[in-house]
Amino acid sequence: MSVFIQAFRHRALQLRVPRVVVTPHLMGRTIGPVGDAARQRDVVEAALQLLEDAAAPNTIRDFEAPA
Amino acid sequence: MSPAEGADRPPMTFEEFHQSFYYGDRADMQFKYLARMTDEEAADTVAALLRKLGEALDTGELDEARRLAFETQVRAYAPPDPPEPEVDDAPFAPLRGDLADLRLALVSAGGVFVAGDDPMGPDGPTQEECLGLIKEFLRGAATLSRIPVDTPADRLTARHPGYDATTAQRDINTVFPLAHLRDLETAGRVRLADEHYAFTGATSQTRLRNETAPRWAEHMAAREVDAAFLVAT
Repeated sequence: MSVFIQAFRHRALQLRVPRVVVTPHLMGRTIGPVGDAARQRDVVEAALQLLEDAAAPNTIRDFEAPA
Repeated sequence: MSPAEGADRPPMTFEEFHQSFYYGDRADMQFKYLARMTDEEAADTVAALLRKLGEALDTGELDEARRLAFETQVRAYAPPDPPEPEVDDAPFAPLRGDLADLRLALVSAGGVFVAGDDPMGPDGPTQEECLGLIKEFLRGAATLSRIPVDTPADRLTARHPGYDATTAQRDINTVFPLAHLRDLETAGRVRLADEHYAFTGATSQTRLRNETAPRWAEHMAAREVDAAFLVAT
């Protein structure tokens, strides 16, 4: 599975990446902001969940921080 | 370039100013997207960012400045039309079995490597120096950094001509979350390979697809890697 930032969401579509989590982060911080271990951990969990859930190619899921 | 150094230079247009963020005199990988904007868009963006920075100086809260930087970055990189696929297939391997039983490898395009084991050799360029080598990076073949699973985060560093890797130098988990994956392995959620990987994504995409990446995939398969966690930057 892959993690892309929102600014490059279109690149994931162009490349037809099989499984993608799209994060609302700045370039260079794909997994999360500096020092924000909780957010980074949530993104990693979301990517692993997508690996388990995806049933078809080009499955793109926008990351949403847990409430 | 410091303000004092710029004092003796000829006047510049505003277009030259915002274009210079893209590998010019003011090269800045955080804000190189200003070069993708019209003069008016760039002017509005710079003014808005400065306004939010001014507010942050009073409040200590950076969320609004961060949100604005994010929104303007997304707008600047958005293609004018819906993107068309560039590749003719979308390979998909269904997950077989439990995640905790699969051997997972982390692969980052963020230019991460173990300090002292620079994939470009002992005299490899610094982050600042590599911005001037962007054309050489884009023409060249990427090198795969092999990173043992037990490498402490403070032994990892990064260099990349396409984004500001000083962010990753401050916190490598921003692009290479190996420490978080190790925690999840301890919790029984995943099983990690003994070796993880990174390369510099600013590279010849043709070479990457046709030559380099297939070789890397063979290497990982030989090490019994079942799944890859890919991080784009």
